[in-house]
Amino acid sequence: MLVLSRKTGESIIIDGQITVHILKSDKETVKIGVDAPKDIPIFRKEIHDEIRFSNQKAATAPDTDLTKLKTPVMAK
Amino acid sequence: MAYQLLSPAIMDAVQTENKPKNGVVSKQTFRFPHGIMGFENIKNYCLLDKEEDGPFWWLQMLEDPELSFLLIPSQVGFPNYKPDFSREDLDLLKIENLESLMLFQVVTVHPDGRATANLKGPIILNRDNQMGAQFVVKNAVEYAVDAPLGE
Repeated sequence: MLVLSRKTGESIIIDGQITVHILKSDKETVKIGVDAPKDIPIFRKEIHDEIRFSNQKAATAPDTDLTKLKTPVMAK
Repeated sequence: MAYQLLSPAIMDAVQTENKPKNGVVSKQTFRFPHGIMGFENIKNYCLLDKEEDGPFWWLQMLEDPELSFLLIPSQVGFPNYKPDFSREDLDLLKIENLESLMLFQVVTVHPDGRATANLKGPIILNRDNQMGAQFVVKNAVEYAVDAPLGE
C-alpha cells in the first residue's frame, strides 16, 4: 500500500482524473473531499462491504422453490 | 431536476406490472454498467417474472445463468420505504420518465426458510433504456441489509 503524508488543504491525484482533498482533520476524524468523474462509484467501505456480503448470500439458483418460504408476502 | 423531491416521487411512480398468467414467463434484459456489489464483473441480467413465484421476481446473471437474485418490488414488500437517492447515482441511469423505473429489494432466503430484504442497497431498473444499478441509498443508516420480509 502506498502511504503518503498530507497536510490539511493538500490533496492527491489518482490516474489524472480523481482528486482526493484533505479538508479537515482532528484527533479521530479526517474529512476528505473526492473529485471524480460522475460515473466512478464511491462508497463508504463499511456499507459497501455489508451490501456486498449480503448480495453474496442472496445469489442463488433461479429455480429455488419459494413455496417453503416462511413469509406472509407469498400470499399476495 | 430536484432530486430531493424526486426520491419520494420515484416511490410513487415506479410500476409493478401485472403478473404473467398461465405459466408464461416474462423476460427483459438489463445492462448494469457497474455490475452489482460483489459481482462487479457481471454486467448483463435478465429480469424474470413467473406466475408461480407470487410477488417475487428473479434477476438472472446472463454471464452466469446458474446464479440469480430474488427480488421483491419495494411497494409490495416495504410500502413505507423512503429511499433517498443521490443525483449522481440517478444520472447514471439517464432517467427521462419516472414511470419507466422499477424499484426492488434483493431478498435473501435463509436455510431455515426465513426471508430478509436489503433496504440499504435497492435495485433500480430503467425500462426506457434497459439500464439497471444497485445504489447505496443516502439514508442507508436508517435501513438494514437484512430486514425481515412480511413482518
